[in-house]
Amino acid sequence: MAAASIIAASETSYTRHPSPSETTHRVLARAVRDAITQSGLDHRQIDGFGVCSFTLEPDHAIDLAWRMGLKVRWLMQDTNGGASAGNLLQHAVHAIEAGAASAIVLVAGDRMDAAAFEKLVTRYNRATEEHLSPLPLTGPNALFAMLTTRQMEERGLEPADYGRIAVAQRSWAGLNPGAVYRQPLSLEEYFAAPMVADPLRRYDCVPSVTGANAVVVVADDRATGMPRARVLGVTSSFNRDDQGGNGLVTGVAESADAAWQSTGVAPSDIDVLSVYDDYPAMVVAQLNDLGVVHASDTSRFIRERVATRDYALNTSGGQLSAGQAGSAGGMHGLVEVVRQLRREAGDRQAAKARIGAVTGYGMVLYRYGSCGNVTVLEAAA
Amino acid sequence: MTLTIFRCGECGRGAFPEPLLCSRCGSDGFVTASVDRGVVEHTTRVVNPHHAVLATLLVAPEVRVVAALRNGAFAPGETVQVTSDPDVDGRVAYVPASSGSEVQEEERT
Ligand SMILES: [Zn+2]
Repeated sequence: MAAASIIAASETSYTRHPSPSETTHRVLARAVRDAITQSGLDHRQIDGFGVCSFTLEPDHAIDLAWRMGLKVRWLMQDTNGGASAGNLLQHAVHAIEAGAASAIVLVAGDRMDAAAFEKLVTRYNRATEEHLSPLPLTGPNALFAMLTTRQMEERGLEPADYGRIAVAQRSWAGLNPGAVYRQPLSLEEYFAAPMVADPLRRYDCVPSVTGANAVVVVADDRATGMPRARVLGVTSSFNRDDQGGNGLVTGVAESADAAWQSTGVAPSDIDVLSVYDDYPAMVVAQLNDLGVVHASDTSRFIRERVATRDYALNTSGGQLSAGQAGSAGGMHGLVEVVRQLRREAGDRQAAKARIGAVTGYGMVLYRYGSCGNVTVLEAAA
Repeated sequence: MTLTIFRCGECGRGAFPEPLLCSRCGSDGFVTASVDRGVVEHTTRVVNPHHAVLATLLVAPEVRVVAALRNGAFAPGETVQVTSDPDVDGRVAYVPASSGSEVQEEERT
C-alpha cells in the first residue's frame, strides 16, 4: 500500500557553460518553481522541503527555504550526492506516512563550472584530500578505470560492451531535447575518442553540467485522479564493505533485495529503469545488483536489449549524454522515470510504463562509491 | 620512508586510512604498522597529467590503497616497494600519508 506519490518532476535546462550570473541558488530555485507549478499546488501548500547540493556553502537548507519563501514543518538537507535523491525521497515518504508533512518539494543541483568541479573533486572528503589529491590524478576517473578493468576480468566483458552502453544512451539522448549531447555516436567514434585513463575513453566519463532537478511528493490520497508515480518502496545501503573490497557489488545489491521483498515487485516487472551512470561499468554493476541480468549474461543483454534500446534503460540519455549536474545526478534518473510513468517522455516514451525503478549510487570515499539505493515506482492516475 | 597503516589493538584487523572505530569489533584502540611493500592488483595510465600510472595495491589482508607507480613498468601480481615520502627516487609506489596521527607505533619484534 503506497502512502506517497510523486506528482511533479522538473529539470532545469542543463548547460556545460553557465553564464557568469548563474548561481547554485538560482538554478535550484528554478527547479523548485517549475515543480511546484507543475504540481498544481499553491506555493503556500508546500509544508516540507529537502535539498542536496555540493555548492550551497555557506548556506544550508533553511537559507534556501527562507529565500524561496517556503514556510515548512519538515526540513532536510542531504549530503550524499548521487545517492541523495533516493535518500531524500525515503525520508520524505516516511515524513508523509507519519503526518509530519503533506506536500514536500525535494531538489538537487549545482552550478558546476570548472572551478567548482576542481574544488569538489580535490576536497571531496578528508580521505580524498589527504590520500588521493597528492597523487597525479584529478577526480575519480582513475579509480573507475581500475574498477572497469576488474569488472572486465571478473565478468568476461570487453571494451565494446561498455561502448555499446554509451552509444545506446546517446541514441536515447537524441530523443531528449534536454540532453546536452544529442548528436548520434557510433561505436567507431567511441573507440576513436581520446583515452582518459585506460580503459576509459572520453565517452565513458560523465560530462559535468550546471542544472537542477526537483520533485513534489504528496500523500497518495490527496493525489487521486492525478497522473502520478506512486512510491512503492525506497531502500538504502551505506558503507557495505568499508572500501576494502573490489567495488563491483554496490549498495544497490542489498537495497534491491530489500526492495523486491518489501514491494512484491520482481526485477522482471520493471518497464522503465534509470540506473546511476557516472561510468558504463557502474551501469553494468547495478544491472547485475538489481537482478535485471545475471552477471554471466551481461554481454548478451547489452547487445540484444540495451544496444537495441529494446530495454527502456536510462531513456533520458542518462548522465553520460544528458549531463551530470553535480548532486542532481541521482535525481535526474528519478525525474526521467516519473516522466515515463506519467507518459510525458515525448519521442522516447516507453510503450509500456507501469513499473519504474531508479537507483542511486555515490560518495566515493576512497576507492569507489559507498552509498546505494533503489526506488520502486508505479504509474497511477 | 615506509607507509603507515593501522591495526586494531583488539582483533588485529588492518585499515587505511586511519579509522576511528574498528569495523569488525568496534574498538577504538589502534596501533600503527609500517608497510614497505605491496602487491599490484590493477593499474591505469591517466593521460592527463603526464601519463602517470596509478595502481591499486594490496598492502595487508583486506587493506587496499591507491598509489602512484614511479619509474618503471609494473605488472599486476608484482610486488613493489611502497613509500609515503613524496620525494623518494627509484622504482616505487607512492601512497600519500595522513597529515597527522596520534596512534603509537607498534612495537617491532
Ligand atoms: Zn577490531
